[in-house]
Amino acid sequence: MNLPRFTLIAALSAAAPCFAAEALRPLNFANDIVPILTKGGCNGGGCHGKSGGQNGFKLSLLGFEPQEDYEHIVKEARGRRVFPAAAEQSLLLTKGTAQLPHGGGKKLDPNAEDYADLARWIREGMPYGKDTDPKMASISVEPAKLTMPLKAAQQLKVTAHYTDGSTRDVTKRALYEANEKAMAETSETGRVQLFDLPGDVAVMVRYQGKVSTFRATVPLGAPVDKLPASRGFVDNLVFAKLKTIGVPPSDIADDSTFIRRVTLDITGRLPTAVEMKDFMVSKEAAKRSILIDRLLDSPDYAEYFANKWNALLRNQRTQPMYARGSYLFYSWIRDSIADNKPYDQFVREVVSASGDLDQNPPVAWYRQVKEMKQQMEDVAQLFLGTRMQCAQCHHHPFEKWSQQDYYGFAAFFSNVSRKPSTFTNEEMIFSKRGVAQTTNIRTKAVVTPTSLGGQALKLKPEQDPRQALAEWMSQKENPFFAHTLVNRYWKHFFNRGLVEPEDDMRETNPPVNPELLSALAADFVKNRYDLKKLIRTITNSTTYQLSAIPNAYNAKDRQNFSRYYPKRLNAEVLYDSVNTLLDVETTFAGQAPGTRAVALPDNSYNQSTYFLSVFGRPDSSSACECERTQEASLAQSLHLLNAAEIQTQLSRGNGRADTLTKDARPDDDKIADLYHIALSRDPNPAEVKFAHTHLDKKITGKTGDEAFKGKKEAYEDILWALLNTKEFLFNH
Amino acid sequence: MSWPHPAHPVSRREVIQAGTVGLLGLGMNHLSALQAMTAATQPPRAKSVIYIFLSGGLAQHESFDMKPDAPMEIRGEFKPIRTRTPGLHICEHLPNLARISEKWSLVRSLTHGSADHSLGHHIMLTGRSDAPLGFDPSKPKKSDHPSMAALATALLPKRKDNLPPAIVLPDKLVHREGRTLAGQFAGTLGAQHDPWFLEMSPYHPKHYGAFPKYLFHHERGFETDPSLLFQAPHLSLPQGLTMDRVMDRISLRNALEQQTDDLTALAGDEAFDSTRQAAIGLLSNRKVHDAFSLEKVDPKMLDRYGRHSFGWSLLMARRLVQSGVRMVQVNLGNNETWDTHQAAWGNLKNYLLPPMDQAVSALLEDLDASGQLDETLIVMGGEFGRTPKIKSISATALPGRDHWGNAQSLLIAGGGIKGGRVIGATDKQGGYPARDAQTPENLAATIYEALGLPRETLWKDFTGRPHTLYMGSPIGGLV
Repeated sequence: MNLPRFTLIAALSAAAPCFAAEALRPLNFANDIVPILTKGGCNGGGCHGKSGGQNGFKLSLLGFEPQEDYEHIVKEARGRRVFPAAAEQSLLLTKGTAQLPHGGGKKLDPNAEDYADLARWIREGMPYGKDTDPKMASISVEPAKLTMPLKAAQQLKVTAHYTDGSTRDVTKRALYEANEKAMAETSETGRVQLFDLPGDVAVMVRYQGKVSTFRATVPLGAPVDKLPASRGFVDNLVFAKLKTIGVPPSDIADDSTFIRRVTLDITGRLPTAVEMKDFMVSKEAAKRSILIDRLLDSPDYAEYFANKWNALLRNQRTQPMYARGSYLFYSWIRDSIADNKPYDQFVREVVSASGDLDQNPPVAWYRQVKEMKQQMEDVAQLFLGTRMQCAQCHHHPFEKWSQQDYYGFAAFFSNVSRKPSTFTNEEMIFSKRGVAQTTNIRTKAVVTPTSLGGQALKLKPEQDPRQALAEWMSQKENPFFAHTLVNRYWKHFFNRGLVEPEDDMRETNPPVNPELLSALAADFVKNRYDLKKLIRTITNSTTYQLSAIPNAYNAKDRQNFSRYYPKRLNAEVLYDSVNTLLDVETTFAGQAPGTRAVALPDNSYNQSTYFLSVFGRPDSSSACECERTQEASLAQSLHLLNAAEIQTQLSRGNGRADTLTKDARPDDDKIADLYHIALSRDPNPAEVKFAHTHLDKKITGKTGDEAFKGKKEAYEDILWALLNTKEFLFNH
Repeated sequence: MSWPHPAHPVSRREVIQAGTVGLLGLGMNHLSALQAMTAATQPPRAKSVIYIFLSGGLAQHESFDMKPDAPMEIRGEFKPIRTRTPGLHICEHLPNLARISEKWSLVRSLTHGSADHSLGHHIMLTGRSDAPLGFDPSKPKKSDHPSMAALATALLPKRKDNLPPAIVLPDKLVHREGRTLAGQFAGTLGAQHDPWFLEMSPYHPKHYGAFPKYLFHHERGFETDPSLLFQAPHLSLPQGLTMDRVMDRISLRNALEQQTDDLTALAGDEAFDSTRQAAIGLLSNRKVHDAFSLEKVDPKMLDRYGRHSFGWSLLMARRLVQSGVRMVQVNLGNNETWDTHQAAWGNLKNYLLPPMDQAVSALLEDLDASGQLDETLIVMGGEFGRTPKIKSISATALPGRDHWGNAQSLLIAGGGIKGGRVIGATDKQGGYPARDAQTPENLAATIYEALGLPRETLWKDFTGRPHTLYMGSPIGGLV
């Protein structure tokens, strides 16, 4: 760089012959220049695209606002960013190539086409382009769908289509991202490389606000000739998929595994030893269906699912005086579930809640979710599986939603109003009279309520727009509402949604089994949004009753449900299960002794119960299931390993170990008891022997009190060992 | 690493402008000088960071930004003393730090908008001046911003020996009224990324300062409480349990689990297996265990750091970074110990400044002697500074200073930074930055850069939304 003139000439002469044909075409800032900045990551959220820009240079996030970008590049910083008289010395290029210090490093290669185009654009006087220039209308990817062998690779081709009918190959400037990173990786130039996992993988392709998807089906190709009996459309569709990809399903789980699994999944507790034994000896052919019905009719079901909805509906006790409201709302949720209130009605009663807490407890939702935008975002994510948050400030990067869509949908909540309630510190919610509308913060245009992907509504001033919203959601043909719920419930039982994450359903994140998702949604609508019926459909399926133990082919399957995927017991269920095993009666403040953690009315107990917070019980601070942390942490492991709390419960007088030690029955029977309680099965002979050996070791050569103490310690150890096994910590 | 700074430093922007002018005929050899300067402005990567947190808020006037020429109601009772660095004066009660001023620098212009303990903690522990949506001063929430230690936990690579990337010691920060302070946790990052809280000094609600020798009460002065212990309880066993018995239990568990091998293998989720292994490793690996224990430390070293909670905490931090922990947040005192509203001078000179001066200077000298100072960035600050004006909270209380977010002094050392520097300055009263104001975001950027986290780093919150790690630029002029 010591000889600037030479550099300049070299760059010019290098550029000219290589891109002679392109050089004839006038450049358009939005069509030709912004994509280079996007591909280089310049306008990403981590760099100049963040709201304040980076080091004084701001670009719109991912280039969604070319006019603003043009202003910033061409007119700011006293014109130093672009310098037509010596294009190569423009800051845009010297920084981008890291010839000048650049915090972001080298993003442009001086020998590449991107650089040449930028330089030519600067040399030609930075044209913005004419209003009459064609605009990009869509992108397409080829191939769009393909069946590929394991470890294969495929180059994609991305074409941009313009309003004048012209097309351009934008493969090099598009961005690629696989949804299952364990299955495939993508290169910057659009090459998809598969790994050795069978299943489905989608690659999202983005180019200037337009998205498209490449989908690959990757069969394992094993023979699938011996399928277990299908028990309905769920099995038909799952097995059809397994045949396509050549992954044979596991065997059916045995009865003891099944009763533990389904009891935990429906009621959030372990089956009792008595329930387990009764189930095992029953000769009834339909005993699994009967068990499912019995569980669904028990209050434990309502409590466990109320616990789930309570968190998603953000039932928080943020202040002590809110207890009254959080109890009322919790009871309303629990009773709705116990009564099997149709889901559309349940949602309608929340979304359009008006009045006082006492007459109408779901107004508590509006107590926690205070602002119009928040109300809209929660409704979109929770009930429609659509994350609108991004579109508040910029066009959604992976979606079609614009700010117009965002504010249009938010306008449904524009009339929500509050006035003091008859109860101190509480509010009454009502819909004020007037034309529902809000303002798009970017365009400043007034927008009226608009459903997602629908037309703007003209509502009468006396209409509560939230009723119109509930109406639209529960229309049979609504493409979001039923799909979101069935996917959420599917995940509850299978530990994996048909779409993952379960509340991020979009074109670029397709379901692993679209036919199944549609069929479940259609069935749910047909059954008038009957939640218990949906759970019956799921849990009575052979698919749900498959063993978790893999066969020779399906150990790696994580998305096609060829076996049951074990899941860790969540914080509340684990806490309750440990207490059951150790025979501890809980004492939560203000709750009856022995209240299960899954039956707590709000989040306020997380602070006082370390176990619940360390194992990730959600604080009801978002409408996202993801708030519940299911990931393991060191603190959890240490807690199970050596927490004083657990040791105290193990060793206390009249605790399980103490009782067993005093119990005069043979040790074998007592060991069997522990296995029944903890694992819902009989111990095998080797397990009995290990436990026995440990008991012997602890009492050998001891008598009297010493022997008692030794034996009690041995039972403490056995209890500890059991509650630390994966078989106990997981539902499988 | 240590490009000589010109006598009148030219800002990078000025040089860039010069470069542009150069194109028009002044010659381009500025450019190579500029490129060389880039190398100089990229600080070296530190292996580890120790963030010493003075909860409650250290008064800048009584420590590193004295205003001896200000009126009595502003300058306070303490006198400045000379340090080894010409022209640099600090408080008379920090003689050890004064003696080694070539090893540390100051940032006197750190500023943010909050004079509230809770939000101040949140700001200074997360490196974000903005309050998160729905911020609740009375408790931590999952919607809080993640702390720097949590981000380090999430973004730095896991280690083979199971030591977590970031550790907080000796205990969580708790407000003097007993509520846990927001901003120390992973917040929106997801609780699995909480840094590891050692809880070596179980929360004691009544006392302040560095027990046992420097335990005090803001009003009543010196106190004793023999029940206060300093230990690593997560790694020590509950009463009635021996290590042998734990190992015995683990082998019994393993034996039982082997009976359901197929299930055990496939239930793995890798994170579960690795944390379970890590917990056992931490509990049973003698070498790792030793890093968490002060039992085998040379008594001379204990004397040098000080046999009190400040000294033990910093000695522990030093052992942990030596073992490979990348970020250690050390809370010097709990219950907002440094919140000197009343009897400020007496408490500072008797219970607070001496143990801090002793422990921090010992840490710097110890690291320097072993050649590790250059690879360990040390930052000391609190949630805010204190008011220029001296006040009394009541007619009977001895005077002190109130909360003040507009200015505080940071001590910063190691990690390749030059000692004896002063970045920024406050006005005559020590109230507002007079030049080179620095933000908590810049402090965070300094820490992240030292940890080698690239500028483009994004982290994802529990909803999957990406966020920028760097919300500011590393504090300039330190290297």
